[in-house]
Amino acid sequence: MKKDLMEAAVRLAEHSAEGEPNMKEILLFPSENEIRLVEVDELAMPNGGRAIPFHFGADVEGRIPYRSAIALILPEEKAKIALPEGWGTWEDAVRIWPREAA
Amino acid sequence: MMVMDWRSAFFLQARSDFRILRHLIAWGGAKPCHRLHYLQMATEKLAKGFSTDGTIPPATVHSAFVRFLQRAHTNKSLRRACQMEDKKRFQAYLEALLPLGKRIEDLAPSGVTQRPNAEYPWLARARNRAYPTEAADSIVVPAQCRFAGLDMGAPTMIRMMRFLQTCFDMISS
Repeated sequence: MKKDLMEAAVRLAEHSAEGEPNMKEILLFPSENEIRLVEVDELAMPNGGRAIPFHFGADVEGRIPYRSAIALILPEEKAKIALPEGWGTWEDAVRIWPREAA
Repeated sequence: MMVMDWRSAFFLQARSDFRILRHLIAWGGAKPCHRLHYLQMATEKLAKGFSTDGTIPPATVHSAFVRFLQRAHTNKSLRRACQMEDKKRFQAYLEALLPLGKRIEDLAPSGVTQRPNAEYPWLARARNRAYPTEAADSIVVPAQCRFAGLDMGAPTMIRMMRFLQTCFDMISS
């Protein structure tokens, strides 16, 4: 993955998790041209078998210069439901929030 | 001209507004005010569609969406469409959306020049609790306002968008 895409993904994840006590974890799925996040959220609506992403254009004036797609899932759906088409497998996930302690 | 009832007519227009909103979000180049304008219009019309049986037009006021959110837990079809068997869970989901729903409802222009909205410039006074960083007595242009707390990518907003999409899917089926 491109370094600047990864950095933008981390910024986006940190922004998403800010002030959200029900956010448990944010996973990044590798892509070369799009930030693909699954956010594990206790308040999410059930997805019914496949994670449903929302797509956002690149924020050219802001800090996220890439297109992004974000799917909210319930904790019990993690690694159980299907991922959006083309996102790979659950084994491809990289946890980007909370960050591992150094 | 196509003949339809008031309920169907409001749902059709709301769905069209919502479709434009999804395009604006996916495009990424639109100012927040334009995205929020379509969000406010889609939610108001969706709520008004639900408020009538179709024989009479809904009330001509902007405030409809919060009332809809407050009552939606009694709609069994909607609860099932949201895949929530547990009534309390559905009610809790809707209650968690209420503060954001109120902010969206308040984005409608009110004729008062001091209220933040998605369409017309307003006069920002000191101690404006909704937008505390603005300078006192300055005229704010919606296209230049970030609308803090109404980020389309925030988890609360995505929960709202999922709920709205489910409403539209349900009334389309």
